[in-house]
Amino acid sequence: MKNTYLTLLALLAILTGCSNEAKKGDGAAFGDSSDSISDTALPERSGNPDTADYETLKSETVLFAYDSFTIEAKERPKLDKLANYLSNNSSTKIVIAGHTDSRGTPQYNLALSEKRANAVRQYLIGLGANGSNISTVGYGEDRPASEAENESAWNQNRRASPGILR
Amino acid sequence: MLLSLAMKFILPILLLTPCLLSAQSAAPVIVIEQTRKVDVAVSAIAGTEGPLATRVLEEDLKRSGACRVVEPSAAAFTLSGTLTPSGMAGKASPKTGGAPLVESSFSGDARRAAHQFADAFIEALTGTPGFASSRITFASASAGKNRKKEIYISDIDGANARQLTQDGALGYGPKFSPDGSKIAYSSDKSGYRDTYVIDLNTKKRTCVAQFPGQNTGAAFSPDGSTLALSLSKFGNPEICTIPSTGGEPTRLTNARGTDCSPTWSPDGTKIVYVSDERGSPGLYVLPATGGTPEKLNTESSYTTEPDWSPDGKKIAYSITSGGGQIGVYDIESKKARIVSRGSGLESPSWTRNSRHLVCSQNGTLVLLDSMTGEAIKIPNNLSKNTEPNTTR
Repeated sequence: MKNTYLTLLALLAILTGCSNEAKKGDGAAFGDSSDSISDTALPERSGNPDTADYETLKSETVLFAYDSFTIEAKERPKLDKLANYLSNNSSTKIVIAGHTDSRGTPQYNLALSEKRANAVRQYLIGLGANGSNISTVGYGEDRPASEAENESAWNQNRRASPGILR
Repeated sequence: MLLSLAMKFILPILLLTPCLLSAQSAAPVIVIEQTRKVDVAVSAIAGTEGPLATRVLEEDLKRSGACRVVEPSAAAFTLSGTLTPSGMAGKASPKTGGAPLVESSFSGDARRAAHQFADAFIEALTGTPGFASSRITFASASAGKNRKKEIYISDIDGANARQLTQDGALGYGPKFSPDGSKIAYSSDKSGYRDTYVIDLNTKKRTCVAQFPGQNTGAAFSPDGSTLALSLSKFGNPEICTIPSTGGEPTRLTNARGTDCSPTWSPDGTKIVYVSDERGSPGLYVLPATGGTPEKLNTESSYTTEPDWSPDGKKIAYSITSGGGQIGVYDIESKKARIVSRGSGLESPSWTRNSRHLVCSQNGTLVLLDSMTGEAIKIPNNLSKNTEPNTTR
């Protein structure tokens, strides 16, 4: 039953993703900009994202296209794994840390990185995760995975990294 | 009185050169055509601080965009000053004789007094306030993967730079209150991105927004009572207002995209901000009390960081799609134009004259003349300077 539910959700996400491909990205399973589905409010803060453990779940780091917060199909298996982890560790609180590459301006990059984290959080909630265990933080362009300035570095830097709050 | 005298003197120049003369309700304003400048000279100011005051005054006059500093024999006006224990007595005399255009006392140290003298002269000459006495605040970063960004303040010519914060965190987007006595900025020093207000007089700092998610990009309303900022507590970055001393937010936008960088119209009735709800980030205007956003057609696809000019007529913004240029949108004609040359420019902040903009260019602060496209460096000993904001 649960499997069917997840499959349905994944299908829905893929369908929505496809229908939005020509337009601006969309983090979770939403319709177009005219519909009224609202995001889930963030939980009260807990822990400190600055000292979170970003190593344990490093392989679940989600990558993004330029100027996009769409969770692409190729990234979704990572979130399935992350949702599984959360369901097996129901008292663990995590933070999703969003990042951008160095292009773009400071405030928009901050907001875009936060939006990427929000999109991952919303997607995890869609997979059944408990939203009150998932905080978000946006670091803009100031915590790059790679300091180089080329396509490959930019690809690595446009990311949302799950960290375990301690 | 002084203005009318100035007009009498400038009339011959107007007849000889293609200047524009436009009448406003307050005072007549002369917009000096970009390549035509009024020739001025500064007499050497006496005293220990005299050479400094002379140099500062000359640099201010050049930077104003309205003057060319020449030999006294060729100058239409000669500025002279006498340093006093409390500041400077300044006089600007026309070559033709007659009453001085400016004759007044200016307080503060030699540098400060010279800036005020320059501003008084420029205002008397052009009818538009000068910006030499303005200050700027900005963020400056250290190098490396785990870089920190602290908030700094300096004079608009780069002098008197000092570090305001020691947060050991990522400080962003400092903005002055309308009277210049406070600075709002955001920092993740708590681990999350909160908004703080620094009172420059009392040196006290208050956290005014620490809702879940991000609290950033705060801008004071023209009356100083309210902050517009981007909050993500609803699960998505949205434009909100809060009392400038902190308090419950009023949500103004409800879009599924990323909404950020609000700034106010000078009359306080409207807010311009950035949203990517319809694709690449663009500029939107909405009533400050909430309502339907209107998209501005800037004819550029990736525009951010709007700043409304003090005269209310224009909105400057960054164009990322062009490699980093500055655009200006004219409210009345609804026309946009690119006002910068070169690349790597961002974060425009209007000065008082609604003509010059302080921007960052590849980590250096510059003063951009939106009429000529000329950008001159605002020197300091820091690197990676971002998000400058000027006092009005």
